[in-house]
Amino acid sequence: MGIAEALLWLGNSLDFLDRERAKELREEGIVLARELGYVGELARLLFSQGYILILEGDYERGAALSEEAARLFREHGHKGGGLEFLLDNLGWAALYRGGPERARAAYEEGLALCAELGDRMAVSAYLDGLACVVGTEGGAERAARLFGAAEALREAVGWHLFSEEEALKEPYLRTARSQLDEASLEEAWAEGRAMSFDEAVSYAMEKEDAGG
Amino acid sequence: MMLETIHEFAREKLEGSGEAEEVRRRHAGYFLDLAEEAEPRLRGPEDVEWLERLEEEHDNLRAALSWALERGEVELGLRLAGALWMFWNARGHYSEGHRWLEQALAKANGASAAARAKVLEGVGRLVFPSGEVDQALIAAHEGLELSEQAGLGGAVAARFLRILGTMAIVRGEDDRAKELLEESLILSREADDKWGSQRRSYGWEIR
Repeated sequence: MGIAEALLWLGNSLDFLDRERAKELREEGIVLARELGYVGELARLLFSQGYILILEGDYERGAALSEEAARLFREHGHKGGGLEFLLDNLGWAALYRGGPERARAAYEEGLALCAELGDRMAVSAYLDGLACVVGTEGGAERAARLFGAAEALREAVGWHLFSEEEALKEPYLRTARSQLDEASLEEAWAEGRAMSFDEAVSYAMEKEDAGG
Repeated sequence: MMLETIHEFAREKLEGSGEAEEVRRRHAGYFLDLAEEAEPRLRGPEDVEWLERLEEEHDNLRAALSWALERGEVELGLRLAGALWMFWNARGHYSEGHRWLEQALAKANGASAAARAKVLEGVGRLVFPSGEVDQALIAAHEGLELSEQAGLGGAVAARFLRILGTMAIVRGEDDRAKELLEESLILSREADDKWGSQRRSYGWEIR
């Protein structure tokens, strides 16, 4: 709650304005939080630093920091306060390293946790992630519904994604688009957008064939 | 955990003794002490033990909160709720924590600025995950104003600036977020608020 947290959030605010300073601030926060044994803040700093590395395409280091953060959260019994978003990092790192099953496991775990906690912001991230996984398996319609549900939820909570974050999804969006004609894509997308929070979570957690 | 029947029996005996109110007051005081003892320990290596302890005592803490709020023990209720928001946050009890904090705030007339500010900070933190950005903003603005009016110091103001800055990030207001969070870091550094001890910042004695 003190300097380490201030470093974390100032760093996060600068991620898309002054990336190098953002990383330096978080690094300073990591050193301070380690020195103090400030577990929750250390995990949040590692998680944010890891996320930026993933956005930059350094999936190995991004995953390593995120895994350390996840270990800290879990070992110290923190269920909220960051773990709910962190699993999204692990999902992206796995997806971009060619492990859709690991990505799915991370997204599903994150989704279940966030649904339980009522964390609508994080749920929208997991819907996007699962849409990407489903898209790689040929489930273009299902992917479009999930993308649509995520978009509507994000709008409802007023969450703005930066272009680099949008770019993570882009290859998977292209895949879904390439597998559907314009009308089918729009229809599925609109169906997703019309889902309530609970409907979207249930739909994302359903085990059904890829085409569903 | 006490068996329900034994619990009921004990409750009936207590009600019949005429000392129920005093026992409940002592009960609430004991759990306020526990929560305030736990709070600074929720940040460091001892957090496993203290989070677990608060989880085990969650029903007692709820009972103490209910009693304080029903009986108009405003300061006690606010301090207890304020001491617990980090626990609710770490354990993901967002909705329940938010409800208690709001109930405490609704009865906050006459309470100390420090106790109110701490509860407002908790509201700002706990509504964030559910995407209730407007509520977080209202709580943070109110807390910031209160901290300035009551002279609670830079470390406290810095926390409300962080909530406002975080909300600005979420809304894509990059420059505004940077401005708020730069100020927050300056204030935290000036206060040398390394550990972020709530009680020290809010002027309560550290045990």
